[in-house]
Amino acid sequence: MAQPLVPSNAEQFKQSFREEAREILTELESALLALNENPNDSELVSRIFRGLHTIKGSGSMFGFEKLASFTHNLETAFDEVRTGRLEISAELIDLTLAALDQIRALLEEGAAGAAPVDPAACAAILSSVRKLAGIEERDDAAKKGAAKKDAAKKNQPAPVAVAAAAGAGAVENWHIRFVPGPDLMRCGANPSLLLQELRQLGELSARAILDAVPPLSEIDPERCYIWWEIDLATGAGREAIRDVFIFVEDACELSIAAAGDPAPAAQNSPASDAEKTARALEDGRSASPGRRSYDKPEPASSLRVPAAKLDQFVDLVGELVTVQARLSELSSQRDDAEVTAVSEEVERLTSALRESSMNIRMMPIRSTFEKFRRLVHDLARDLEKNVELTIEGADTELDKTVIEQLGDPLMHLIRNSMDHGIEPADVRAASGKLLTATIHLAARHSGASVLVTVTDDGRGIDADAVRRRAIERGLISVETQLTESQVFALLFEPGFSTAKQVTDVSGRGVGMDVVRQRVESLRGAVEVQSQPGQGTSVTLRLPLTMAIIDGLLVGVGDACFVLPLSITLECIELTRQDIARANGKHIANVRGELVPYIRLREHFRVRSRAPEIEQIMLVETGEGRFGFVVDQVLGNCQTVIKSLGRFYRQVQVVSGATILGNGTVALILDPERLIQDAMREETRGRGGRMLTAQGGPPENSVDFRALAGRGSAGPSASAQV
Amino acid sequence: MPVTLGQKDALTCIHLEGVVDIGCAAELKDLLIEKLKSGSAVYVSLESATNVDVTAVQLLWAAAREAQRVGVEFGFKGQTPEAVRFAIAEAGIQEFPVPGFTG
Repeated sequence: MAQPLVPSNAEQFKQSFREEAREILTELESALLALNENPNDSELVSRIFRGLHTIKGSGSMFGFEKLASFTHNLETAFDEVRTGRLEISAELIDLTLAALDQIRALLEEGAAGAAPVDPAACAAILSSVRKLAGIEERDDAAKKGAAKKDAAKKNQPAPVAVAAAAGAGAVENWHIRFVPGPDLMRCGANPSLLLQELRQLGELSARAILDAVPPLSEIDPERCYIWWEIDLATGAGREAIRDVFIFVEDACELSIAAAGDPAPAAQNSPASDAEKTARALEDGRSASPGRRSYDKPEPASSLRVPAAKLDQFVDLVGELVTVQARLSELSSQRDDAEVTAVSEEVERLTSALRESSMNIRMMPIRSTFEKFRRLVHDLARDLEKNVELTIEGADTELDKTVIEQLGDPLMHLIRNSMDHGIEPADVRAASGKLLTATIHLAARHSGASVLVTVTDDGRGIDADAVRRRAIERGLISVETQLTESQVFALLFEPGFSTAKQVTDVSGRGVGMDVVRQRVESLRGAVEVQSQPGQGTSVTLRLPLTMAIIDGLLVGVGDACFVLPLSITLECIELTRQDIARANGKHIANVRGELVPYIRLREHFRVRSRAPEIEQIMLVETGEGRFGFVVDQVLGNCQTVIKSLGRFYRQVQVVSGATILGNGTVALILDPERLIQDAMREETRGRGGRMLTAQGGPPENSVDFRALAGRGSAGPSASAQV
Repeated sequence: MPVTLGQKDALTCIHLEGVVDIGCAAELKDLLIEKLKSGSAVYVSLESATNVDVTAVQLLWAAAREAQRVGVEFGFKGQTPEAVRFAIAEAGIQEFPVPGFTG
């Protein structure tokens, strides 16, 4: 059945809750891992308790009953920690982390494509948490006590919380005034459920005040005008009471006073309070001189927008860019100053709109980085290694599509580092290293790219072992001469592994080629640097954006191609004499520097005759300079990237297509892939059209590797080039 | 749909079914205003309701006041389910001053 276009209110609230809960879970995970390092940090304990409380309370409110019930036990455990009755231990941290996984599953339960919840796993974790926190013992005691009590208490809440609350201190009488703000109901809260939750803390008497309800015709049906005077007798403290309102505190006026507290001035009479509140609500003014949290005059500084809406917006901007290119084309064909002026104005505005829309898609990489704290923690425990994850540049922004697809490659790299890079503690001790190893995740801008680096201080990569393995696997011949960087590039060949043992974590050779594939699909590249005994650094070079790029339009025969402008350097002429001087080899002499080039005419088998003077478009890649020979350079263009569809997925040298102003289609080339193809052919010693070092080169071929390796000073490699 | 309308002669009965909450509050408000304007007696049946939230409660309460002001007969019909009565009491609304409410 088709999904309704506009979800119901309830569904919208559920979806909002899911999104917020996901963020809270990520924060909880970080806080738990930080608590593992600093078990005495009471602020962290409070943060965890509040996070769990929010998930439980909101979950219950939005109909996630199983989730709320499950989280309740965790919350109770951290209440025990908060009140000093339970100590932080590795067992509690691990159990809570496992519980967070179950909460995630419960959160997504019922959503399309969600994995089913494992009830046995939930029950096992719950049982362990309850046992560890002593909840079961108190639960039994509370049940025995409850059985003796008046049957009138049948509607009272679960005895677990009451028992926990009662045990927290001497029973005190509290007076609570709860006045919902204008948006309380709209954000999905339900005052009745808040009262229910308060009841879990002790004996409660609530009185709803309806005086502020306006005449029927003036009622905003989505606003709560009723407010409450509440008396509560509980052993729980002020903070526990406030925690009940934690997720609505920005949307209500709340006062909590102990029986012994002095009454606030001018607030003694409930009648006058009611009148004042009613008047204030009607007038839209505050009932008290102080400001209420929901009375913030300033507009919201940020807005949550569904990703699909954003994608649609960017798609429309893309269409606009295409139409604008057509308008420019048409105006250039007409000698009409007015049309030209309008066309130029549209071009300026489109360009500005494009910039703005691309900026909207940019997100900090922080959330992706932070989730690896958990991975490192779990793997360190499983592998019995001490590893610390450090993070740098988490505020670096990347296109959301890039960020979404970056998780898997980074995970593979970190797993690989943890399993093979980081040595066991005894080995580290023997080699004079710190017992605690470090994995450093960093992100920084570099021109039109972002560099994301995973660095470890482990044993480094044994280039000789990589080379031997490559020979065993037939990837290279014994005679093949490779630079260290070229050797490291072999690590990204499918199925390549030098691991002596296959472990649960890595070593099957599956992963590194996936890293390369995924990064290349994002039009990025992978670079490896390694020093034996010192560690390894893998850098992912990623484009800032994936939707619209600045391109350079080139022509070969009747065909048009787009090269990413960010990597182009300059254009030089290539004459027949130049070709003759190089003995037909694909090498250009650029001010004394030999630069290998690829003739796009040959590569794409364009049949038309080449002009007398061709153009070499020089590009800078991670491995050095290369050239692409074209008939003519047509100029810059804003390139809206369109997918080529699955039939063309195997054509890896083309990263997409774009529609030009005249309506024709131009292929967007992936220069790194084009060069990489040529170099791979050489590595495999197959000869082929372009080059070979060993197998007798064709007449016009050139040793790309030898040229690419020139001037290479450090142990760097590019898996793409 | 939680809000349905039944009409017999000059008697209007608004049937509230299932969970009556913020999701149908606007619809309920419009219906209450419309029927109170008609001048004929208006009744509300909660017999098929399973829960009623505060937005619905305050609408019914305001409707009762409005009916009294304009001199239209307004009240509840039928037995209010235990769960609904419990929910209203739990919300601290001890006295629901609408004729016919069996709280």
